[in-house]
Amino acid sequence: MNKRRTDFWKKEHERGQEADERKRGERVGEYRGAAAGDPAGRQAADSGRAAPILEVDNLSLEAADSGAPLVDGVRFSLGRGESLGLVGESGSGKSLTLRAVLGLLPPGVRRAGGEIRQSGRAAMVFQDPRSALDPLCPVVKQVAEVVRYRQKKNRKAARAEALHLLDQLGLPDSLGQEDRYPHQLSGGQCQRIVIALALACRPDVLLCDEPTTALDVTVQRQIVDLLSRLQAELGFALVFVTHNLAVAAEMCSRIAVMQRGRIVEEGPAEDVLTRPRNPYTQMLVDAVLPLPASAGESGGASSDREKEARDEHQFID
Amino acid sequence: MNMNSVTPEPAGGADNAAWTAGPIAGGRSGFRRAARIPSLVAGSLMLLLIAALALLIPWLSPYDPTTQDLASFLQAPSGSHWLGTDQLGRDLLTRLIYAARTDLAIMVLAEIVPFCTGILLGMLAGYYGGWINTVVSLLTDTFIAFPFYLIVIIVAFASGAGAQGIYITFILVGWIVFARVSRGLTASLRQREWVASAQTLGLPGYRILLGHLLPNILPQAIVVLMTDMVGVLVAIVTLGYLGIGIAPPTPDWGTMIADGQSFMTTAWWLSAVPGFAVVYMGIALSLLGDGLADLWRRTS
Repeated sequence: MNKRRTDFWKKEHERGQEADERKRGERVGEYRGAAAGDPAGRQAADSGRAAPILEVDNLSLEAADSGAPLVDGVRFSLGRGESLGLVGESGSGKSLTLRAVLGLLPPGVRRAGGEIRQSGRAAMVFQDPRSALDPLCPVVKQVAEVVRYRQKKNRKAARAEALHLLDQLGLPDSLGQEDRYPHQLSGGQCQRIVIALALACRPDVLLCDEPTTALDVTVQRQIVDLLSRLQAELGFALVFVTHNLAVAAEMCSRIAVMQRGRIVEEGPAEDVLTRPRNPYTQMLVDAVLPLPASAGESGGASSDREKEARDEHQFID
Repeated sequence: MNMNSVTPEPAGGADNAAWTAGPIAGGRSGFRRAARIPSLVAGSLMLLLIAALALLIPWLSPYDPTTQDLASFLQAPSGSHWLGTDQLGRDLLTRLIYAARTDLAIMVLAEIVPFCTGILLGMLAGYYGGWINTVVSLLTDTFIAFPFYLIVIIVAFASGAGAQGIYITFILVGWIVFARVSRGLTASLRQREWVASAQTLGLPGYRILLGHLLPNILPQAIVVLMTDMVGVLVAIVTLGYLGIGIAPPTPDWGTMIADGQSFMTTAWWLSAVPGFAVVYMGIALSLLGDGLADLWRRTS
C-alpha cells in the first residue's frame, strides 16, 4: 500500500510541468518524513495519557419524541495527540456521539445523560464537504473569516494566513487570485477547505465525521493521508468516525466498535482488527472484501488515481 | 412556539437547492446569462422605458402637467395632444408621465423601510426562534388576518391626504410579507450543515446572519419585492382614486382615473389610459421578478 502511494507521488513529481503540480511534488519529501515519524509520535502520545483532552463519560442520547435510546452509555477518553476510530455500521450512533461533543445534535435528539469533559478546542470535519460550506461565499473568504475571529487577526493578516493554510493543505494558489465558490471546486478540494476551516480554529481535538464517505474512492486516500500528516505535524487529537475499517486502521491507534448505540469493543487498532473478541467486530472485519492478490496491483487503480488528480486540478488550467 | 414549528413558508423554499446557486453579482458571464432570459429582458426594458420617460419628461413635453387651458378642454387625441386633453385642458400624455414620476417614486420609497425591517425581523425570528419568533409570528398572523385595505384607508385618513399616509402604512404593515419570506428561508437554511459548521467554528451570530444567511436569502426576497411593489402601486392608485391619496393638482394615476370617470361616455381614454399605465407597471414588475427568479435559479 505504502509503496503504491509513493509511486503515485513520484509519478506526479515526474509529470510536474505545471507549477501547482511541481509544488505538490515537493511536498512528497515533507510528507514522507511525516509518515515515517508518525508511529513513534503516536506511541509517545499513547504513553502520555495522564490528562485526557476529551472525556466522554456514560453519554446517552435519545429520540426526543419516543424516548428511544440512540446512544447508550458511551464512554471513552482521548489524550493529547491520540487518535481514536469510532467504527460501526450506519445508525450505530457513532456520528451522533461525535455531534454531541460539539453540541450539534440534530433536532429531535436530546441528551439523556452522561457528561462530556473537554479541556481544549474542538473542531469538526463534516461528511459532505459541499454542504458544510456557504454556497454563496468564496472559499478563501470563508477560511479567512474563521482565522479572523478565532485568531483575532485583522482582515489582511487573516487572508494571508488562510492562503498559507490552503497551501499547506495542497490547494492550488489560484484560489487566492480569483474568487472560487464551493460549487466550482471538486469534492476533494471542498473537503480540504473544510479541513482548513477546522484547522483555522487551532483545534486540540479534530472530530472527523466520515470525512471520506462522500468522496470518490481515489480522493479518499488523499484526504486520509492529508489528515494523518497534519496530525503528525500539528499534534491534535483525532476522533475519526468511519464505517471503513481500513481507514480506521490507518488513521487511528485505538478503535472503538459501536453497535446499536453502545461501544461493544475497544482497544488498540491492531488487536481489535486482527483478534476481535466481539462477534459483531468479527462480522465487520469479515465483511471487508479482500483484494484479489494479483489483480489489485495491476496498475488500474493507480491510473484511476492519476485521472482523479487531474480532475481535481481541472479548473486551474 | 419553538423552532421546530417554523415551517418554510414560501413555495419552493430554501430547501429547493436551486436557490443557493451562484452569487448575485455575476460579472460579465452573469450579464450574458441574464440576456438569455426573455422575461428578464422584457421586464427590464419596460421599466427602463418608463423610468427614462419619467426622468426626461420636462424636456420631452411642451406642456406643463398642472397649468390649465380651459379653452381646449376634453379634446380627442390629435397631433398636438397625442392622447387628448382632460376636463381642464391639460395634456393627458404629459400628465400621465408626470404621474409615473410621482407614483413610482412613492412606490420605491415606501418599500425601502419595510424591505429592510421585514428581512431583518424575519431572519432574527427564523434564526434564533424563541420569543422573537413568537412575537414576529403573532404579528404576521394578525396582520394577515386583517383586511389590508382597511388598514391602508384608516391610516390614510388619520394622517391626512398625501404620500405620508402611504409611507406610514407600509412602514407599519409592509414588512410582514418580507418577514414571512425571510423567516421561512432562514429557518430552513438554519438546518443546513454549513450554518451549524459556522457556529461551531466560532463565528459570531451577527456575522452568520449578515455575512452568510443574508446573501443566501436576498435573491428570493428581491423577487418577492418585485411582486410586492405592484401591490404598493395599486394601493397608491387606489387611495388616489378614493381621494385620500395624492392631492390634486399633483398628477397621479389614481386621481386621473377618478377625474375621467364622469366623461366615460364621451372621452373614455381619460380613465382608460392611466388604468393601462398601472397594468403596464404590473406586467413590467412581474416580468422582472420572474426573470430574476430564473436568473438566480441554478441553471446547470
